[in-house]
Amino acid sequence: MENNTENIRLNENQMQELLPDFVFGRLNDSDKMKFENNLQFYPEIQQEIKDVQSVFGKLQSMDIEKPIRDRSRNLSVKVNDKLNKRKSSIYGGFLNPKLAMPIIAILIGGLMIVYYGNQKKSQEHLIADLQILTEQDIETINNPDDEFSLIEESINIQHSENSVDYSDITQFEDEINQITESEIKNMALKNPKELSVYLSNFNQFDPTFLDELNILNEEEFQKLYEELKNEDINS
Amino acid sequence: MSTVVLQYDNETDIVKEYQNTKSERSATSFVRMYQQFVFATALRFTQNYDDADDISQEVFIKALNNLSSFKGESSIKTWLYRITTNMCITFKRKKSFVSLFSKDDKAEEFFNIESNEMNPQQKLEGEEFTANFYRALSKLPEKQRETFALRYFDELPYEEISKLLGTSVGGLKANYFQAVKKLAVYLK
Repeated sequence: MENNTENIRLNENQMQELLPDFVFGRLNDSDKMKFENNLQFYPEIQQEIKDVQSVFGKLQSMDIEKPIRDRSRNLSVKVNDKLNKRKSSIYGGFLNPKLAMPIIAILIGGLMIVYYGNQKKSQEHLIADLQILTEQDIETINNPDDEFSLIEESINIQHSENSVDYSDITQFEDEINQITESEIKNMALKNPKELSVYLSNFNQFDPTFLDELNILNEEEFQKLYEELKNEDINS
Repeated sequence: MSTVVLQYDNETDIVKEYQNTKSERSATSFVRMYQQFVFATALRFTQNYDDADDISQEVFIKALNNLSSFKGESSIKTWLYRITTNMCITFKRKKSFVSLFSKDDKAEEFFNIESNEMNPQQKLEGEEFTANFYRALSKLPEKQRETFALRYFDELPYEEISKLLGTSVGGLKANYFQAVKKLAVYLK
C-alpha cells in the first residue's frame, strides 16, 4: 500500500505545489517520498529547487524577523497603557468627548420624551373633561352665538311681552338730546298741535296735556316750562 | 518565532485567565504571544512601521475587550488575523481619503518599508538582504504575499489559510509556489 502511494506519478503542477514545503522541510514523510520519487522526471523542478534553496538558505541563516521583533517588543506595555487610560476616561464620564456627546444626546432625548409625555397627558385630561360635559354644553362650545342665551337662562332672566323695549328708549333719548330748549319753547308757542304730534310719536306722551297748554297765559306757561325743565323726562 | 509568555502553558490558559480576571498580567501574556504575528500582518498591509504599531495596539485593545465573547470556534490567530486585516483596510481607506486633502510628504516612506530603518549598521550585507527581502515581499500580489507569510512565517496549515483568505487549498499551494519563485528571482 505504502509502495503504491510512493509510486504515484505527479504532474508538473503537483510538483510545483509541493516544492516550497519540500525546500522548507515541511512535507510529511509520505508526500516527501512521493516528491523525491517524481523529481527525476522534472529537471526544471530540480533547478528551481536549487535556486530557492540558495536564496532561502541565506534567509534562514539570518534573523529575518528581527526588525519586526524589535518594533513590536513594547506592544504589551503600550496596549496596557491605552487600556488603563480608556478605563479611567470611561469612569471620567463627561470629560471624554467621545462619551459626552452620546450621553448629552440621550439626556436631551429623555427630556423631550418627558415634555411631550406631559403635553399628551394634559390633552388627555382635557378630553376627559369634555367627556363629562352635557350635549348642550358641547353644542354651546361648537356654536358660540348661543352662549349668551345659555348664560341668560342660567341666571333666570325672563323675557315677556310687557318688558321694556330698550331699543325704543335709546332712540327716544337720542331724539330728545337733539332738541334744544328753545326749539321746544318755540314749537309750544307757535303751534302747540305740532308739538303734540311730535311728542305723540314717542307713545308715552299724553295728548290732553296740549289742550291744557292752550288755555295757559304767558306767565303760567313760563312757570310750567321751568318746572318741566327740572323734571326727569324718563321718570 | 519565539515569544516570552508569563507562566502560561498555552493560549487557552491565557484566554481563560483574562476572561476571568481581566488582569494586566494575562493581558500582557496575550499580547506577547501574538504581538509579532499581529505586527507583521499589519506591516505587510500598511508598509509602514509606525502605522503598523498603531494598528497593532488597536487590534489588541479590540481583541482584549472582546475576548470574553470569543467562543473558540476558530483559533486565536485566525481571529486576530481577521481583526488586523479589517483594521488595515479601514486604516488605508481613511489614509487615502485624508491624502486627497493634504499633500502627503511621506508617500515615499509609505512604500519603502526600510527607509526609516536604515542606519550604518543595517547597511551591512545581511541587513541589506533582509531589507531587500521585505521590499520584494511588499511587491507581491496580496494573495501571494499573505499565503507566503502565513505559511512561511506563521506556519499555519493550508486549511486555516484557506478559511482566512477564501481560497482553495490547491489555489493556495499554487500561490505559495509562485511567491517563493518570485522572491527567489528577486533576491538572487
